[in-house]
Amino acid sequence: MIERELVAASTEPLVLSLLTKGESYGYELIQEVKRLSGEKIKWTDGMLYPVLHRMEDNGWIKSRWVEIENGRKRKYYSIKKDGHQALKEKRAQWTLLSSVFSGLWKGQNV
Amino acid sequence: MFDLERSISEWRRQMLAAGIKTPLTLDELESHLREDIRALLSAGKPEDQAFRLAVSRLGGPGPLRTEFKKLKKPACWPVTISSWCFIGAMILFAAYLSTRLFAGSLSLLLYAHIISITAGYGAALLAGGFGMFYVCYRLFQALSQQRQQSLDRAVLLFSQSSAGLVILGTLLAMLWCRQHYGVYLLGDVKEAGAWCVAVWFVALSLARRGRRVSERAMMLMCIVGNIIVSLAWFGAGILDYAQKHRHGTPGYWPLGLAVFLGIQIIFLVIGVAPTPAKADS
Repeated sequence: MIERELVAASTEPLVLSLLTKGESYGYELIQEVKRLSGEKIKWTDGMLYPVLHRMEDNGWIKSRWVEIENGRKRKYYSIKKDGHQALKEKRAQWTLLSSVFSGLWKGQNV
Repeated sequence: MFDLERSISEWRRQMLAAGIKTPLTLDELESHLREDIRALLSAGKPEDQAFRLAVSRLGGPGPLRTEFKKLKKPACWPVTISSWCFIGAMILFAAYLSTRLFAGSLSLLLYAHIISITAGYGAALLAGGFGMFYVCYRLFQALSQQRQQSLDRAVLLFSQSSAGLVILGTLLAMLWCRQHYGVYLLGDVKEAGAWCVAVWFVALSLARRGRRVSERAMMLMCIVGNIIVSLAWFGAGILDYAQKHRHGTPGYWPLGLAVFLGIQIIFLVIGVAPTPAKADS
């Protein structure tokens, strides 16, 4: 299982990356992250929503309500231009970190 | 007998009591809860177990409220106080000018033009003032992320407002000119100054919105905006006065403008220089 702090730090880039594939909603985003990580990344479901709202406030993503069935609604999120820019910056940071660790751990049996 | 709909209503009431009061946020959380319950029911769980498991996965109202509370935008009190002072001053100015409007010495078009231009130039000077505050603050310590965000939002808001109000005021002046002189543009320095201010603040707002300039560059651009506004407003005013009164302007006017411009240049130089500083708390 991945540590909580690391999960929290990776939430925004994960959400932005998933939304580059197309619009999605909270529940689906959580399921997709669970699937991609082999259930090793587990978000407390409700905690995703404040993050989504903050990202919306930052102008990275936008949302719309869609009626699905029996008058029930679902809130879909999609990425905005500023979100692509933010993802580019975050991606550069995570790639740098990854390459630093790769360099440090090369040939080591940790 | 377990009643799912009643349990969901009860859960909603608990969330509301815990302080999650925005209906749309509650709707979104409820939508999630229902998705999870449906998935658990499809997996063969009984209704009551599915509900309890989905609620526990979603998280308790306390931690959720804490996370949503963090979304409240941080405020920087000098920014808040000066913004409200500016709005108050504009309301007083509009009220004062309306006495001339009701006395019949000012047309509605001219009244709207004066209010728009004054508010636009005032907003620009306030954005520049925030830029100077930023430069001063950085001399002693770096701004915390929250203060920086608050300042950034205020500067962007006042820059956009300035651009919009100056454009509106200029268009109103064009209509007034058309009514009184038969042409839209007189081609004088005041008009040119207004367009310079509008273009500068439109460019500044677009650059910041598109994240093409850093926060620091934005603050320095606002100080440059102070120079443009002072020349467009007071510089053009001095020239205009000198043209109408052939004996010239009172000597302290150009001196006052020169002192103001000098201060802006000093702030720009300080702002451009690198300042090693620690972040505040």
